[in-house]
Amino acid sequence: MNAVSIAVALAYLLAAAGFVVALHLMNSPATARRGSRLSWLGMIVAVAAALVSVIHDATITTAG
Amino acid sequence: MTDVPQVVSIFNAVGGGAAALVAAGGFVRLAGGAGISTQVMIATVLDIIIGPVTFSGSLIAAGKLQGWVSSRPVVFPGARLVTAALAVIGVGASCYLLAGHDSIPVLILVTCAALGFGVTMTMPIGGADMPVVIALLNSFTGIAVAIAGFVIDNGALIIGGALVGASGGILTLLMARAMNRSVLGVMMGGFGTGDSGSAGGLAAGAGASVRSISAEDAAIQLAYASKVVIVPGYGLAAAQAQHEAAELAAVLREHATVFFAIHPVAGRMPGHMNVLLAEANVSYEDLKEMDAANPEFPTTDVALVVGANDVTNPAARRPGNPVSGMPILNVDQARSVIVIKRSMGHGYAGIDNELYTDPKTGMFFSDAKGGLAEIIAAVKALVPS
Repeated sequence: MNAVSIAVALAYLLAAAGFVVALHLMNSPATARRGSRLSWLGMIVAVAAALVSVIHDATITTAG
Repeated sequence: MTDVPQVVSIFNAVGGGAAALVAAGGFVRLAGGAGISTQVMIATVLDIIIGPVTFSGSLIAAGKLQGWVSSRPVVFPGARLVTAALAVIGVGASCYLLAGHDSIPVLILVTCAALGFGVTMTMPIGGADMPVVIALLNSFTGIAVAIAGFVIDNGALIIGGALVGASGGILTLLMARAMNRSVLGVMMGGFGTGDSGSAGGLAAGAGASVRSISAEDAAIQLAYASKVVIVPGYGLAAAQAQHEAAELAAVLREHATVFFAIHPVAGRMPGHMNVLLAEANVSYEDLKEMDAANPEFPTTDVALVVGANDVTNPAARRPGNPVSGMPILNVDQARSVIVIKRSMGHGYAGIDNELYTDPKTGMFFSDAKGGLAEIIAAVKALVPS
């Protein structure tokens, strides 16, 4: 496990934690907006981590 | 804002389709090579089934909501047979793949069978059952995504997909319970009459006596009421009258307690009425769920029903009719009832609403938007503010 893949895994963990908390915040209309915001922030983190992971894999794995 | 259910449905379709593509992509890349591990193969096969079903089913659901596809339950002879046949083909071909044959044509066969199954599964479902179907397809999308996570070994997909699948599943069960029908019953379809303004009801004034009132009559009742409950339904969304409803509530609030009573399956999507009224800047505290609203009706001076039908039908309290057993809003317990409706046409369940022939009910025959606007003008004329 090199540094990048550890960072990516941690980012996924962070995003997943964000999703769980956001879902809980959706319980009441008063906090639902915050939940919505948290969930798309988490999604941005997850997508960014996925992109980093894909780009990194493409540069260091041997082709063919 | 009427279109949010369609958009949600299209999002579901995209999610299911994406999961299917991930699985198919992984399969095509590894097929014929070093072989696919059993774990990945099982996940791939499951995804190739659930993903396309969600994709085509959600597209049909969106089509029904938008009116591109008939919102009536479309049942033709042999429909059940076709659905069953597609299921058998899909499962059979999947077993072939699971037995270790990495065959791409068979994969395509399973995908096509699943796509067909999604179509035939959703076609027989009527428009107003859509809240349950959308929640169910939402859950399927989550499950498909979670399984895709197992295919490519990605933790975020698994967790995110599992969250959506679980919460969607709970929502589906809640929706079905609110309609007092089983999820399986809803999926079997063939129930309901669709969204076309059906003229299948009594002509206005004919048959059992229905009391027809004008905007001024309604305004007099509302202006001198001290507690008003507004019951919105799909008709409010279809007429895009949420701003008028909010304005009326604001005008009445100056001298009365006003809130909205929301039935769980009012509209075409879970939370449809809430989203609609939120767009008109109605505060969340003014929206009461059914269980909180029902005890208030006996002390309510005027209940104003706008575009809701079956969820107010007292016939649901008796057995033996299509809406039997469905929890309803106890509008008939209010002191006076005003119903804004375009005609005496039936609601989704296709039966007469006994609320309309109740002596204390006044029918204001108008479309929601124009009718509410007239009432607002009349109330303002009566109450100097």
